[in-house]
Amino acid sequence: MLLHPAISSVPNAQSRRLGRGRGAQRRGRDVITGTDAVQDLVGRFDGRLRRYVSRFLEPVDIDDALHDIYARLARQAARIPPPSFNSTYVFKTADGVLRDLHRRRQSRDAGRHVELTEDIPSDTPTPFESTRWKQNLDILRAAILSLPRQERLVLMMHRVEGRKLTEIAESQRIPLRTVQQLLAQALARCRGKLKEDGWFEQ
Amino acid sequence: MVRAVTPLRRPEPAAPPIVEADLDAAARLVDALAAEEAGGPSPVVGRSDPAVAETEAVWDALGALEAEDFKLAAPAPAPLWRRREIQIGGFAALAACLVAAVWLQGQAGVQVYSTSAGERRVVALKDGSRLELNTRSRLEVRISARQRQVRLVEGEALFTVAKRPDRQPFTVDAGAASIRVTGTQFNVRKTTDQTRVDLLEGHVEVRGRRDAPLARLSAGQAVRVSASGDLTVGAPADFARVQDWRAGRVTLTRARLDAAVADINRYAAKPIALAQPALGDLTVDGVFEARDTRAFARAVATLHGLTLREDDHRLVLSR
Repeated sequence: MLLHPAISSVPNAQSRRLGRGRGAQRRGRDVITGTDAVQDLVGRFDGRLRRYVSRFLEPVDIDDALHDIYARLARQAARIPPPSFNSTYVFKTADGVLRDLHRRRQSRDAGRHVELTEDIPSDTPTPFESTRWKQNLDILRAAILSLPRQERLVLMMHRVEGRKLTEIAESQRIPLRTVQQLLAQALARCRGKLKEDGWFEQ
Repeated sequence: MVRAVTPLRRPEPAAPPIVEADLDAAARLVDALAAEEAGGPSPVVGRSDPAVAETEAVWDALGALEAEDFKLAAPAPAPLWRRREIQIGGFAALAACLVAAVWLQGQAGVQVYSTSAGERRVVALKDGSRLELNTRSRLEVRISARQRQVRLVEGEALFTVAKRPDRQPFTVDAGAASIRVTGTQFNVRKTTDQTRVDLLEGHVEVRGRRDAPLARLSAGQAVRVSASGDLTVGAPADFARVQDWRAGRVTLTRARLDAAVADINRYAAKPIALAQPALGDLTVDGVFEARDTRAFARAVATLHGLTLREDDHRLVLSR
């Protein structure tokens, strides 16, 4: 069954990574091919995930990253009870994979790196050196720093902390409707600023 | 004259304006996210709409940022009344105010009424009760929602106690005596060796020592409480004497002169003294103006052929 190029064929980037054992590869692949949930996720999110990952990684690493994302999601799908794979959840997983992968690529001892199989997204800031990564992050940072504080806060809680809109409403003691409005304004403003900065012309 | 007004606090740098169409697309995306969170079907948003797809791409990309990138180190200033610490502080302040109010009622709520020699005074209390203070008397009054308490420190007073709907008791402490009433009229006189209670109306309960049984008086009865707290019940209440003092009179009926002088001296700024103790055996009859000490002394001198001498501090009767 062909799910995804990253899964059905071993990409170059993956073969370059020495830290990953055969057993781990096989385990990941078995889980992926056996899960309908992951198939569904690929159908729903593949385009978006690919676009997202390609924004920050070198083209050679994209398939590798996607494979890791699906592998991680598949492990999560095998949990009892399985999590609900909404976009926030899927993209939080993707964010974690993206960071881990980037960190690994940046590490001078990449060859000897031992993969962390935990599903928790890493939260330690790391000095990225890839220009692609750095440039894009700089544009994004400039965009969010132009937002009013309240919008920035809601955006951070939702997208970076991965909290539900209802949770944000509760913790900030503002109506859900207001949270949605702040988030929409934040996204609209960001989009305008990014457009101005040539983000979409890449 | 033109004045330049500079704001004290630098306002936040102006946020980039929102394009109406951008906000619309973003609102649709957020609605879809909310619906998805609520457990609804996961919509494949923006596939057909490039504006939503572009917003979605922004949303996706923002995930690469770290929390620190948002520069939110200081907590967001929530509206003042919504901040937990303000709320807690508010409640604490309120509680402190209540405690202070109760304490003040207990402490500073003490009203002191006193009279000097020969003075009489009528006091209307806020609970509707009425006090009449006789000469050289001192009362401490505590009236609150929870208690009505009066301490007769010295002297004599007539209490006309107002009834309360909740039958809250009114207590009078005078020397060893403790008097408890709900609504009535009674006179209390405290001297150095005893306290006398004359009940004119209603009922009162009088207690001498803390552990002693209560004496229940009915109208027209009187009780004497010695300094040690012994009760002597039964003497009829002396209505006439109470009416006399309220009118500023002293009525003497075959009274010994020493007792009569003592009585008159209660009202006197310049007291009368008897030069020889034997003079105390003489008797006096008559109605006298309580405050007119000199008139009383002259009357007694005339009646018994005594000489009256006056110095700076007293009037002296001698044979």
